[in-house]
Amino acid sequence: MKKCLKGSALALLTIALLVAPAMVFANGQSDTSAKPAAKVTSYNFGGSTTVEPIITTAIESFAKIHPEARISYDAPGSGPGIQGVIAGTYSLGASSRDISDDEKSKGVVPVAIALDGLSFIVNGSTINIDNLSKTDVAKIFSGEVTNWKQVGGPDAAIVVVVREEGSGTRTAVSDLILAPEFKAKNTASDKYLKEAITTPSNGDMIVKVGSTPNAIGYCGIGYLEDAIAKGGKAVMVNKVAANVANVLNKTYPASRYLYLLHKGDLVAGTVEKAFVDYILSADGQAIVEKAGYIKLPKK
Amino acid sequence: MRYRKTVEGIIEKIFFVCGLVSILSVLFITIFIFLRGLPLFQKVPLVSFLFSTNWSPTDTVKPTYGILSFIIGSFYITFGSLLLAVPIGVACGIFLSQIATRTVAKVMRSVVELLAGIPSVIYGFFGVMVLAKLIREIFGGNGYSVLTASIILAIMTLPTIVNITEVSLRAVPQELKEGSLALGATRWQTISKVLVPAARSGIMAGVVLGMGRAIGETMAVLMVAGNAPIMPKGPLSMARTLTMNIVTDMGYAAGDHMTSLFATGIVLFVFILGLNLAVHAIMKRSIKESV
Repeated sequence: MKKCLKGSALALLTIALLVAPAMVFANGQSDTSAKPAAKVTSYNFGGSTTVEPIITTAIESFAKIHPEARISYDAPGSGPGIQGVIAGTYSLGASSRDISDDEKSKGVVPVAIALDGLSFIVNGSTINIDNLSKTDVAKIFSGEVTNWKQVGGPDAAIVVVVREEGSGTRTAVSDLILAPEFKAKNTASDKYLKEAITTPSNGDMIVKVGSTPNAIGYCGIGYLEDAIAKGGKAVMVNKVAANVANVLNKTYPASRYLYLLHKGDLVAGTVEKAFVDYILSADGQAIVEKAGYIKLPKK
Repeated sequence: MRYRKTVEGIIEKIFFVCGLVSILSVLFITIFIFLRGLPLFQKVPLVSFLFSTNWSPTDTVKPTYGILSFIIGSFYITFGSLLLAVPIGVACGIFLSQIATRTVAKVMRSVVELLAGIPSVIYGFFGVMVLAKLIREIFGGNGYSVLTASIILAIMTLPTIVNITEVSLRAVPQELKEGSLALGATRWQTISKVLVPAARSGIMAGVVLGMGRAIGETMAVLMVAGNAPIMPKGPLSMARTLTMNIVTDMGYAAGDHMTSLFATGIVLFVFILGLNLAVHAIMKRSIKESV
């Protein structure tokens, strides 16, 4: 009996191993395209992963005021988000980069909802640099500069700490620091140094930079206080300190706006308009701050 | 009488269904991993997935999915940990079964068991706070390395190796030991020439089980191996394993990137399956030998 059961279990497993590939190649595509049928009350938003924490929290509290609207948010990234708005897949999109003129000509209207600022942190007990130029930062994270003395620090190898592939913060460094520096040289946009400690969260990043001698890393401005408490030290970029005031007055180079996008102007009375208004309201801006971003200045 | 028989029958059925649950879980998880991972190979050739070292799944121009560095990373860290854990674990098992007095063995055994009960995140935390610093001060580098991860994993696999070594040494028939001692062999000669060879299949099974634990461990190595997506160059180089690759990129992965993580899972699954089959084969041999 025991033997026969074992035999049948093995047989089942074998069948599974054989059947699974066949099923994949037969209808592998169909399950990705299957979306719930559009109801009158269903709304599909999508776009940036950076904006995702704001939107998902906002959707939850928005649902309490507008229980009739069921909103979902996909986060394939800013580019697909903008494309989705143009194609009409998303009735509202989100982007962490500026909208190009070409995209605007296709009808995309951006509404700024928050600001995102990156701060660069070094290990406080070994590195006493106060300032790095934007170019220095780019060279450090691309691996062109490998010793602290090349940028005015002690003679020690630089320990670079980065975030994982797909992280919004990683992309922000890529977009705001690396791309502008290397575009002039006509190279691919993602020039990140591979030989770097890779951490999957802001918390781990802060601990690693704070505890590893000669380390440099980055985090959102919202995490800066925490980073300093854990042994990190903030560095200025182009002699401008990373803080909310400098992001707002646009002097700090490593910062950007976050947008919601709509095809054409928002129409009063629609859920999309109500949602945008909600995020711009005091409640919505509180969500922005809670997610680690900077709320819009009062007009 | 009839009533008792029906009750027996029902209870048997219930137990059979419970048995099925574990089989079905394996089945469904297997199907799921394969369903989600295999579509990658419609876009990325299997050969370039397995034998390329370039991992840039979010490159905007041309994303690449090569996991060779992580396969090698997994092997380096696993074998590094076995290199440390096997001698210590086997020696500890011999001590517990043959040399230690009853009380000493009892205390030691419960400590080893305690070691098995510590959550892996605690090992990782210890690794970041203490071991990485130690490695950095003694050997240089940034402290997050193949070596650091191997040491942590060695500590984690010790209980498996110790326990199975002890059990298989105890399973060696008493007559063999008595015969050897009666022929005038010393205690050490008896252990090294008679007992360990007689228990070698069991010990091997313990080593392979430990290897399974090491290759599947995620959290602790994630915290201490540095996690750089590069080919490890030596014991002090940073490394990323297959498990680390899945958990690192999982958070924000979408589309092909996500599929490639499931494909990484398939590779891991095949490795673990191979290891388990090896354990079964060795166990079977050891049972045959002891009869």
